[in-house]
Amino acid sequence: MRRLINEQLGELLIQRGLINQSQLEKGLAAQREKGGLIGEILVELGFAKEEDIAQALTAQYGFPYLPLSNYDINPEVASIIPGRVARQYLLIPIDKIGNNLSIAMSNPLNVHAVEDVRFISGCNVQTFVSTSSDIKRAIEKHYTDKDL
Amino acid sequence: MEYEDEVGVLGEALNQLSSRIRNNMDELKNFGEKTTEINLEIQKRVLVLSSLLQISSLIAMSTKSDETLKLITEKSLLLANSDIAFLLSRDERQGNFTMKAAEGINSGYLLQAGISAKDNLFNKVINQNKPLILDRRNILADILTAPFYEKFRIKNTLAMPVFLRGQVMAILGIGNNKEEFLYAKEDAELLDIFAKQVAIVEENDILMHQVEKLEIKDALTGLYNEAFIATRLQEEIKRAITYRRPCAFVLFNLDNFKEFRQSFGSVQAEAALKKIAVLIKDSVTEVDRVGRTCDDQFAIVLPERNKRQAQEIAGDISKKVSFSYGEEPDSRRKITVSAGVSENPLDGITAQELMDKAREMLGIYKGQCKNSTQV
Repeated sequence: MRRLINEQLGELLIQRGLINQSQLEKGLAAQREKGGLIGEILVELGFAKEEDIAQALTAQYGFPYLPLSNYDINPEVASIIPGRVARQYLLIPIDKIGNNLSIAMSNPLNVHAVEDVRFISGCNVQTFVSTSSDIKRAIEKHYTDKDL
Repeated sequence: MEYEDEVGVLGEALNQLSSRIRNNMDELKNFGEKTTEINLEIQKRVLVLSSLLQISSLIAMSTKSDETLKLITEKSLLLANSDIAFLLSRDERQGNFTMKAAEGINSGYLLQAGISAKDNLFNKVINQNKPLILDRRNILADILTAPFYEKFRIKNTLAMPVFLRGQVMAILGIGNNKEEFLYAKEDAELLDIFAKQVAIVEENDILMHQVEKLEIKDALTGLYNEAFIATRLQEEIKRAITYRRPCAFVLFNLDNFKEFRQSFGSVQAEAALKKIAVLIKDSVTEVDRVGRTCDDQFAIVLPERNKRQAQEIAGDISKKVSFSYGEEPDSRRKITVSAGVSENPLDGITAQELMDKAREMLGIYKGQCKNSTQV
C-alpha cells in the first residue's frame, strides 16, 4: 500500500511537471535510507512545495483543496476524533453538518484512515486536502499533548 | 635381710610394672579416643563430600535454584560444628543484602534479617574479596562486629564471598557459639567449594532466564510466543505511526477450553490447539504474525490493517474454527473461539494498550455469548 502511494504521488507529480524523474529517484533513495513519507521528503529536499502537492491531488482526484490557515475549526468538532488518531493520520475534523463530517488531511488517498474516522465518528466523511504543515499547526492548536 | 630385700624389690618391680601397664592403658585409651575422633572427622568429611555430590547432581538436573540454594545452606551447616548457616544475596544496584536461605538455630529469625549496604562488616568481605573469619584468633574491632553479633547471635563465624562474573553477588556463611573456637584451614576450603556451587547455581539461573528471553516460538504449536508478539506489535505500531498507517491486533480465546481439557485429556487438547494454530496461520498473509500467547489464547499482529479489516479477518477465522468442528456429534467437542480486536491508532499507541483493549473486549464478551467477534 505504501508503495502504491509512493508511485501514485510520485508519478502524479511528474505528470504534472512539478518534479522530474531524477528528483523522484533521489526522494525515494532518501526514503529508503531514513524512512518517512515521499511527499514530505520531496518538500524537505526542496523539489516540490506543499501547496503544489495538495493542488496536484485536488486536480487529479477531485478532492477539494482547503487552505486551513484561514479556517476556524470548531473545537467541539475537533474533539470528535481523538488527538492520537489525528496525529497519526495527519488529519483534523473541520466541520460537521448533520451526519456529515468534513475532515482536512494531507493524504486523502489513505483510505484506511478515512475508514477509521467513519468508524469512530459514525458519520459520513467528506475529505478535503490541506498541506501537512497547516494540519500540523491545527492539530497543535486544538489538541493538547495529553489528548491521546 | 636378703629375703626381705627380695620381697621389697619384687614389690617395687610389680609396682613399676602395674604403673607401666596403667600408663599403657591410659595411652591406649587416649589412642582409642583419638581414633574415634579421627573416625568422626572422616565421617564428617565423607558426609560433606557426599553433600557436594548431591548438590552437583541437583545442579545437573537443573532443579529450581531456590531449592538448590537451600540445600547448599543446609549442607554448609555440617561444617565446623556450626549452629547456623546462611546465604545472603546482594542486590547489585543498591548493594543491600537479603537473606536468601538460613538453616540451624534462629533460622526463622535470621530469614527476616536484612543487611543494609552500610553494614561495614559485610562490605569488608566484598571489598577484600576474602573470607571473613571471626574466632578466638581472628578478632576485629568492636565497632565492626558488635552489630553483627547482635544480629546473628553467634560467637564465631566463617563467611565466604560468592563470585559471579567477577563480582561478589552473595555471601555464604556459617557460625557457632562455641567458646575458644578456631576455624581450621579445611573448613574454609570446604565452605569455599559450597560457595562456588552457589555461584554455579546462580549462573545457571541467569543463563536459563536469558535462554527463555531468546526463545521466540511456542513449543507446542510452533507459533510465536507472547513476548515475541508483544515486541513485534510494538515495532509495527512504530512503523504505522511513521507512515501514517493503521496496525491491528486480534486476540482469540478458545471458549470453555478448560472443560474440553478436563473431559478429553491433555493429548486431545493439544491436538486441538495445533489444529487451530494451523487454521489461524492459514487465514492470514505472510506479513501478519501469529502467536500463541497463553494456554488457550492466540494472537495476530496485522500490519497495515484497520479495525474493519481486522474484524473481518477475526470473523472469518471464528467461522472457520466452528465450521471445522461443526460435524462433531458430541457438543462438548464443538470448539469455538471468541475474538477481541483492537487497532492503532484508534485504541492506543502502544502494544500494551492494544493488548489490554483486546483483552478487555474478550472480558466483556466472555460469558455473554459465544462465537462472535467483539470490537
